[in-house]
Amino acid sequence: MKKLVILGGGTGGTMMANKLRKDLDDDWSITIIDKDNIHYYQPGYLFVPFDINKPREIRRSKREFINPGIEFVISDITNVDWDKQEISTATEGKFNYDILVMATGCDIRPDEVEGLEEGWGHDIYGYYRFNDCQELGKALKRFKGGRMVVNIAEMPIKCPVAPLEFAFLADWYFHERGIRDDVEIEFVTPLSGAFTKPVATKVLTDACEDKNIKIVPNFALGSVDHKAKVIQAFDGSEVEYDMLVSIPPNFGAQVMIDSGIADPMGYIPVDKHTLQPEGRDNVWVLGDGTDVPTSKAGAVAHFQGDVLHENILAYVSGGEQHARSDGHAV
Amino acid sequence: MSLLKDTELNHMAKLMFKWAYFNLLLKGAWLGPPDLMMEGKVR
Ligand SMILES: Cc1cc2nc3c(=O)[nH]c(=O)nc-3n(C[C@H](O)[C@H](O)[C@H](O)COP(=O)(O)OP(=O)(O)OC[C@H]3O[C@@H](n4cnc5c(N)ncnc54)[C@H](O)[C@@H]3O)c2cc1C
Repeated sequence: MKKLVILGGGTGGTMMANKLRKDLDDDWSITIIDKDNIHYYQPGYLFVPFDINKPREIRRSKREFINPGIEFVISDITNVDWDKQEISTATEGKFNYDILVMATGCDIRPDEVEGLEEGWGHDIYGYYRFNDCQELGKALKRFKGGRMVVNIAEMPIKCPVAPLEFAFLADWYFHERGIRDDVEIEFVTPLSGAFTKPVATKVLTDACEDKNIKIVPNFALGSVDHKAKVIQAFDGSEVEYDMLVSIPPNFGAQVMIDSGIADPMGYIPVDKHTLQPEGRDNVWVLGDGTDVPTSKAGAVAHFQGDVLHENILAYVSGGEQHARSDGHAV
Repeated sequence: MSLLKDTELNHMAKLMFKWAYFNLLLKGAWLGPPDLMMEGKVR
């Protein structure tokens, strides 16, 4: 029996397992390893604070989406050894593979900014995790007015447009509550404008103007002082807030750093077209965990999945691998 | 159609994406026509 192992049973890992199970012969086993059995629909994190999605609607069982014929192992991945073709886990032992697909995503790291973790929950909230988006919803209901600052600590982040969407939803929400005139909304970003690409930036800047959302560009967050309610940039500039909605730095899985196969932010270097690490012809990486310069989005993982599907099947049959990723999201 | 505009249709499509995510994307199914890739980008 030949073994295909998939690390991470989130968006990319689940999708790849189901795609490949349809087309790989029965002499291939497919195993997904993930640390838990909870599948979060992450785009829903944006809507929970405003009661548009209920928490229960965006939290499902991972197993529910994994097709028959795929083994699902629940354990923390503790080491990845490409030379030995071996994965170590915290509780389920070691797994060897003939093909490895890696999709362990990325996550927020408030501990990477001075003062941010200490202040979390003290007028500082976020919505990039399941519990956080619920706490933010409660804080929004208590908020009677003042300055709300939506801040991106640094790029890259998952779903780069989500912070602006949040600001737009906040504008709508405060209008609905009849307190919009009592709330200033500031969008404080390390980018030079509202968004990364010029056409989108123009449209989104106009939208911010229409909604009276102030954009503070080129703000490289250095530290947070939750007692003084101020965020400081490395160049010394400061922005005061009454409520800070923070998007902290996003890092790839720590285990990839510990295994010596990722950059210092946990992203795995791959060829941006083939999505393979250099010199590893039986390893593919997709989704938020790569270092490719594209949006970290489920939609991107979906299109990357098409490339992996075609090339992995070609690899198995000994054919040419023609598919190339171009990083598009839609 | 513009994917960038602040419209009711875009908002509803975003909310409906949850259904597509759980029922199509995770299952590894086909997701939309190829022309969609350039929608809103080419004028
Ligand atoms: C607020 C928000 C809004 C978003 N909106 C959109 C949107 O509108 N459209 C869009 O396309 N995308 C959106 N996204 C992004 C999208 O959710 C991600 O890009 C997508 O889920 C990435 O898939 P992935 O498989 O790379 O990672 P994930 O889906 O995050 O899966 C990673 C998996 O790896 C597991 N894992 C990690 N480390 C370990 C370990 N050491 N041991 C075991 N298991 C481990 C995790 O448990 C997890 O299950 C949004 C994200 C957020 C946060």
